Amino acid sequence: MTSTLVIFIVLSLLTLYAAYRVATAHLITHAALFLAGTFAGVAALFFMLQADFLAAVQLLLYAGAVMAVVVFAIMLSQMREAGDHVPRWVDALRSPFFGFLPLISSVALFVILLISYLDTPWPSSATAAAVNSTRYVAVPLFQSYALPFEVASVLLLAALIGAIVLTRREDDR
Amino acid sequence: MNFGTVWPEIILAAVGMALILLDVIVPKQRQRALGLVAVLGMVGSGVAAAFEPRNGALALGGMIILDPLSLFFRLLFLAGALLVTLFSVDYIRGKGRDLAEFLALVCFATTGAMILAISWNVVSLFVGLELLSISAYVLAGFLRDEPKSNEAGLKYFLNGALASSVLLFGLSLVYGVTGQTGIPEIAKALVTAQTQGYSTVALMGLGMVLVGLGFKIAAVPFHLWAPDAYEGSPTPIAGFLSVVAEGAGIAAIIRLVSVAMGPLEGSWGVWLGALSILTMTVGNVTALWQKNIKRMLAYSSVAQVGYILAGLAVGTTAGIGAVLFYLAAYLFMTMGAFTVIASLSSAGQGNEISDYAGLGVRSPILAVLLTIFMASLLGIPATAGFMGKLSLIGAAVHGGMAWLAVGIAVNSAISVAYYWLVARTMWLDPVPEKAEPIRRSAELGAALVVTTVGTLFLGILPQVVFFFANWASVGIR
Amino acid sequence: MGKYLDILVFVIGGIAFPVGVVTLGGSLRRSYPDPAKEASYESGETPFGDARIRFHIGYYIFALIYLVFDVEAVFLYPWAVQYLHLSRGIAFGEIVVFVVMLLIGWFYAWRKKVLSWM
Repeated sequence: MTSTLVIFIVLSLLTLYAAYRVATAHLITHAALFLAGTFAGVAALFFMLQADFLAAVQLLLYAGAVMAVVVFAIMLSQMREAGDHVPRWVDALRSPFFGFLPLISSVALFVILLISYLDTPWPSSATAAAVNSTRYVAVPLFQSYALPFEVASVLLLAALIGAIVLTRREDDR
Repeated sequence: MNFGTVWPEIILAAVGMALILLDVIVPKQRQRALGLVAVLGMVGSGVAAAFEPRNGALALGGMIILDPLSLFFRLLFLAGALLVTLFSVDYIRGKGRDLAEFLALVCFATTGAMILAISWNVVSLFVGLELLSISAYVLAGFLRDEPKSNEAGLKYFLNGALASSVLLFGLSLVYGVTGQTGIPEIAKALVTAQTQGYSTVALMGLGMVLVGLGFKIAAVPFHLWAPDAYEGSPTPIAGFLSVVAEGAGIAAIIRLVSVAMGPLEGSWGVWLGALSILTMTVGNVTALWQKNIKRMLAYSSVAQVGYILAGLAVGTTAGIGAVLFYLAAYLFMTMGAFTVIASLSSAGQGNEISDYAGLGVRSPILAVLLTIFMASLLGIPATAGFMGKLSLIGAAVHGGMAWLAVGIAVNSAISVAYYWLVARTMWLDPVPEKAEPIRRSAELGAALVVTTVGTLFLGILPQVVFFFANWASVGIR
Repeated sequence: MGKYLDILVFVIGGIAFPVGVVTLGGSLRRSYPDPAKEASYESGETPFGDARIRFHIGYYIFALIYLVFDVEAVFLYPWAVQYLHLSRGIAFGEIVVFVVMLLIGWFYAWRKKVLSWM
């Protein structure tokens, strides 16, 4: 077993645990904290894949900006706790729509994905690792993908206008 | 990089930006004129689209294709946006909301739909879809003071975001197997992939793409958001969702499923046909129970999506051509029906079907027009809907899927019941006591004229649009 | 993987230092709690009320605008550090269009007074 594999397994387990706790934490602020942990764990996995630009983006956007939005949303809402009545998982499984049906369907999806991933001889791209990963993103982004890039800026503008439309204080109009 | 090939999109996005800049300059009382700015921009964009090449040339590094199909969808979406603009000026101002923001978002959403339709690469296709979707979420929840509109925006957003992520997951699987983002390159790589055993993952990718787009076009069983979104949205946006957003979903299915994943064909035509039958049946049967006219039209548009999917399931050139013709017919008849509803609700009338009692006496013109649009949605001869259904049935029979034709015919029979209910309420039910005459603005009048003429023209002289639709459907691969 | 080793050292060091200092201080000092010491330190102000109040929804716009501009910054970074590897005139034009579009949004937010503090 190589050291890379050990690091990968540890990171994956940490990320999965954090993701599990997001769904099961009693305090919504704890759930937010674990969500940040999940994002950071995914960033670490990107690092392991030598995609350091993506890892930095993941940290900056998800662990940074998206978490800021989530924390703001918690501050603005009255909901602090998921409640004391969170059932034990054994009891929760009895309810069809919140227990065993989602569990069965997600396990089924996982198994199907796993089987077909293992079944597939993936085309490999060994050359990617050698290149500077920021250049690997930048050159296509500003050359062949110039159109999607510019459309993305219109998209950001539309999102900004949308945010203003939906949250502006009425008395200032 | 020659951005001259996307002039229609540049013009429309620039008009959107101009509108929000004008919003801070033009005083509130004069903002009615902004509707004219938007209309001129859309017309200008349409003129630019007409002058673009349509020989199938690729542009912008292979990101887009300029073929007749691109031209068709550009004009279709612009026409839809134009009608939405015409009939939202009064509606939005009547609700006391900011017209400039509304029209700017309509421009951005339409730009996204057009980018999607001309894309020859899944990246620009997805970015276009997101531009359309994000603007549309905000538009659905635009009436902030109305809980129903908030609900519509939230439900549309949650379902749409889920759909986008499923779609993106599917596209990532396809990219993983093929290593390509270009639509023709994906098609080519899938041919080799099939012989080398990658096709399980590719098929899963295809399945996820279909599920994601199924959500976007509200195909059964992914349609549950549609009635709430249609009921709560501003009425012009209900029209926009059913014409432009669904049309964009159909365009994405043509580009992604029929072209990029065409090599995976095999049995998915049958699956798509089954989805089509399911969608039209559930849509029509559920529509029978609706008491709110916007919800009824939502289920009716679910059923219409079912008819359109039948053409895609056949998959032949005639099938795609019938789909395109049906989209054009659908534009006029649905938009027309929503325009009548919007004129009535601007005049203070409710959206329950029982509120339409005696409309034939109170406002004979609107009642006649609504009857025409309902007749067309139903498929009565001499209307656009009849020619559309006829061509879909013809394509299904010639394409060897006669069972789809039977499905369309049976479903049309079911739909008689709920369209007849509206007609009966309008013409035969007694006029309520305090009935007021209904006033229309110039913009609404123009929208009504255009949709009525369009509906009847496509029903009586369909040849021009038929020719265009068939021309656009030839050589999409 | 080797080039990330220094980052790993920094991360471990960065976590170890504050944790170590606080643990060490806690184990060395004697503990005499009283209400004044237990109170939150607010730069000399006497704290009042609960920290977990509900904030005005109007502040949410700041988080959303921050998110939009953060995404913009992410696009600017690869452009800036890889500029010499791009075809320069086109890349410059692209980024100008990109930034101007966001400036329009910022101008709109400013003129609509959504950026004013409550």
